[in-house]
Amino acid sequence: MDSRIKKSFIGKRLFIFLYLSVMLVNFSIPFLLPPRITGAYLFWVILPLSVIALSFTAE
Amino acid sequence: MNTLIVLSVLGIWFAAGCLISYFAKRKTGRGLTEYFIANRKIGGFIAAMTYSATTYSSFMMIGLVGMTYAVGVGAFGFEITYLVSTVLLLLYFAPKFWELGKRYDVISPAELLRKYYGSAFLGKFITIYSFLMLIPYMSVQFTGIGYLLKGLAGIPYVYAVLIALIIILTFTLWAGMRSVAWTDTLQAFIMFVSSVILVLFLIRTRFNGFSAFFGTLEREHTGLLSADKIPYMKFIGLSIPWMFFALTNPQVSQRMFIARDRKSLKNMILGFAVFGFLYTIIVVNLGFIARSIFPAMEKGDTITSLLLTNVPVILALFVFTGIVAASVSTVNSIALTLGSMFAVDFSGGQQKHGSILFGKAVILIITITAFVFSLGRFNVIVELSVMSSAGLLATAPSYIGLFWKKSSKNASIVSTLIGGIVTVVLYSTGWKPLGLWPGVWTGIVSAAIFVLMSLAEYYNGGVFNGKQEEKGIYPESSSE
Repeated sequence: MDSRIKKSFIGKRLFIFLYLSVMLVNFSIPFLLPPRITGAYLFWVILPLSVIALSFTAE
Repeated sequence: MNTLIVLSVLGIWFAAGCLISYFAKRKTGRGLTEYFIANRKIGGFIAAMTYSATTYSSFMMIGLVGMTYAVGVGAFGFEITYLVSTVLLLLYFAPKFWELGKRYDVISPAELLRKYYGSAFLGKFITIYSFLMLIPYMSVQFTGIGYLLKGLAGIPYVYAVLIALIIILTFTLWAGMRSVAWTDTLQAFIMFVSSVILVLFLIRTRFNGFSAFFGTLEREHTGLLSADKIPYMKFIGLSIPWMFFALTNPQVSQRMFIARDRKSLKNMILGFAVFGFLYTIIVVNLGFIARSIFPAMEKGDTITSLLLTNVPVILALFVFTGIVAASVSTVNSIALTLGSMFAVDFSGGQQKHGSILFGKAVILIITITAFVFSLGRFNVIVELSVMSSAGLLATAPSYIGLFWKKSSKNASIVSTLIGGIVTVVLYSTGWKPLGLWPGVWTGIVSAAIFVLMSLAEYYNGGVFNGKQEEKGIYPESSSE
């Protein structure tokens, strides 16, 4: 058998949890927010910024 | 806009690209790995720029601006869904693909599947399947350039797409991945800076600042700030195929092989994430700006051209170059990757110099095919492009299955084939069972077939061959 592949930048469990959580909120919350700049627009600014911030901390 | 001035600007940009390609060629050695993936020596910044330029085509400045104009913030959400999904997928899968690529000397995504599943037929099948699905997407880039040059400079459509063909072939064939990646860096710079300047100019001259702009949006176009202005099922139907773009589109998944080291790979992901976020927010705001300035346009695809006729010529020229650059950078990456897939899986293999010539011939044929397709100016090109991303979604289970011990080659072939058929049938008939868009059904059907067939073969000792398939390589899970 070949040696193990080195680990990803985020672990499997964290990846699955994050992916599902992010997609769940992404496909629900914006559609419930009022039609304002501080509604879905701001949500879709904060969401990717959060993911990018996480990326910087990943090993 | 004066035709001569437009051609001169294009000429300057082309000359810069040629100079870059010349220096790239000097750094490119012999062999398939050198030509198609720069011998896995690309640094993080260049990797990020080529990933970004490959991903973001003229769809952004033409299609997404128009989409935002029409449906508002839902377009923003659609593109951000793609971005966050891609970043998360890359954080998990990119290191694995990168290491598998190095360990087993893999050049193309199809080759990875071939080696893992131990099936030459699968490699060829995925190559042809990807080619068929990507031709419409390539063609629409030519069409975009053609209409832009025709609309802004009066250059006849055929000549405009011919100019695009020459530029693309030059940048691609000259030095393979190095010329593509380095010219992509220039193009990403032009794409980004031109769109930033355009937004800032329009905000300053038309609205007197961002506060006033946002105030105008809230007062006069409240509906555009509601996510459900785009029907929810359509939002899901468009988003889901694009969510797995990083794995299913070979021109971007191949870029998981090119990084020099893990640090460069990480920087590629971070650089792309930052570029993608900023570029997306800029483009979306252009759509909102356009709606505020021209509230009653019917055709979204003409919005960008209209905006450019209302800014100083020099700025319009710069933005126009950015849009052309976006199309070129996408097409040349697709052509190069498809060329590598044919070279590896249909030619003599990695050791033979003839494989590179074969690959270059394929690049020529593929690009000319897309060019010829674009001459038809089919009105269904956009629909075909959306269909292509949905069709490629059928390959997602096969790539994800690389890290599942029970996956099988037969499941990979059948799930991809049937997924593709589902895509074509549903798009051509317009049927949306249970209100779900074709892309969603493609994902469901291909995933279900892949999982069920793999399990059936695993537990029954092989459905078609009567025995457990011995896979070629073993990317078993790591310590996580």
